[in-house]
Amino acid sequence: MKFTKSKIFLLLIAVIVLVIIAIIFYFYEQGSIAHYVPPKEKIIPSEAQVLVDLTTLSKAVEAYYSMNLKYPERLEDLQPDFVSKLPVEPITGKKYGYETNGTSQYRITVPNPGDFNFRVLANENGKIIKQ
Amino acid sequence: MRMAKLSSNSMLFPLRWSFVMLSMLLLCGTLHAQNQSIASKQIESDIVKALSKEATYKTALVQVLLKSSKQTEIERLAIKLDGVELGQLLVDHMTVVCENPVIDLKKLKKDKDLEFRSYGKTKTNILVSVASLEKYLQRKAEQFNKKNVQISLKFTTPFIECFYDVPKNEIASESVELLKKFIKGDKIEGYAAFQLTAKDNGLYASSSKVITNHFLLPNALLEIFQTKFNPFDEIVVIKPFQYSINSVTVQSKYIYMTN
Repeated sequence: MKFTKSKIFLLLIAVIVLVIIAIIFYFYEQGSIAHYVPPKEKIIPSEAQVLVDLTTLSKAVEAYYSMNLKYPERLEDLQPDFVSKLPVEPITGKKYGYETNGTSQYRITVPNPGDFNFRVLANENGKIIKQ
Repeated sequence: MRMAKLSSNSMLFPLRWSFVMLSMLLLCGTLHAQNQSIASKQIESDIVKALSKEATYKTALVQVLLKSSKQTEIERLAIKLDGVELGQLLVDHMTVVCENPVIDLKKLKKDKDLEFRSYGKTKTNILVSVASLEKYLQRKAEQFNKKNVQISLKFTTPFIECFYDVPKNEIASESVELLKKFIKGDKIEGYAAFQLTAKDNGLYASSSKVITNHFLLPNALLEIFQTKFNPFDEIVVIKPFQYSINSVTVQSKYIYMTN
């Protein structure tokens, strides 16, 4: 079978049209109500996840303070207003530690900082402490 | 017998004195604490009166902790305002906490004016609920004479999800031009997931996903919208405070903003 120039041209046009239809179909299919959900968050390494968790919890503790003029007695008090679910340390699945004097200081700690090659890994009054 | 009585008296004498001295110390301590409490309560009441002249809010709570050495110096000042209006944005809770601020106490007492000579270390927190943010967007739409704009929001950390239904004739012509390929009928409806950032009291929305009339909008189009439109005004600063909001976090029921 011999491919003439016109046949190649027609084939090329057909491929382009198909690609355009596929793109339009993709954007149409992705626009259904079933896709009314936020984009999925990327999976990040454990240490980065711990830092994200410490910051999330610290912001929630400070938001709790903003509402009550005192820090929460325990992290569970942050639910449901500030966090829907308390994060846990990704490697061991243990809860993060927490202590406060009530009005001016708080500290959120990683239960096993050794897993991340640290002696201390914590968030103290909004600042990450790595030692 | 007399000797024994004398010796018992001489034993009791220092004990009695110690007891008297201890009682005096306790009394002085209690009086000092009471005076300090009266002084801080007076300052708290004056600050509430001063704030009512500067801001519109539902309730105010002020906590003053004076330095134990000097009753005219403040160690910590915490102010909490509920239902405060920052321009068109109704903030559910706002807290300003100052460590070692210097306030003109004479002016505060005499004129009920809150004037800071120095703010010390200040932390400002702002909490905005879903309902308040919806009301803000509704107010913004009304400001531009847009009617029948239906917007409902949902907070899904770290995104704000927005479900919208807007008549075509209520949309700015510039937006209609950009969206013309996606507008089939007489309205645009759909879904948007966006994140917020804050810098120098400016709030900015960046869309991560937008669906309009059953079509997922391409990222190139979202970028154009992002650079051209921002639904948020600058965050209003209430006198006499000074704050610059530079951080915003979407939590499960509130947007938390801080300096």
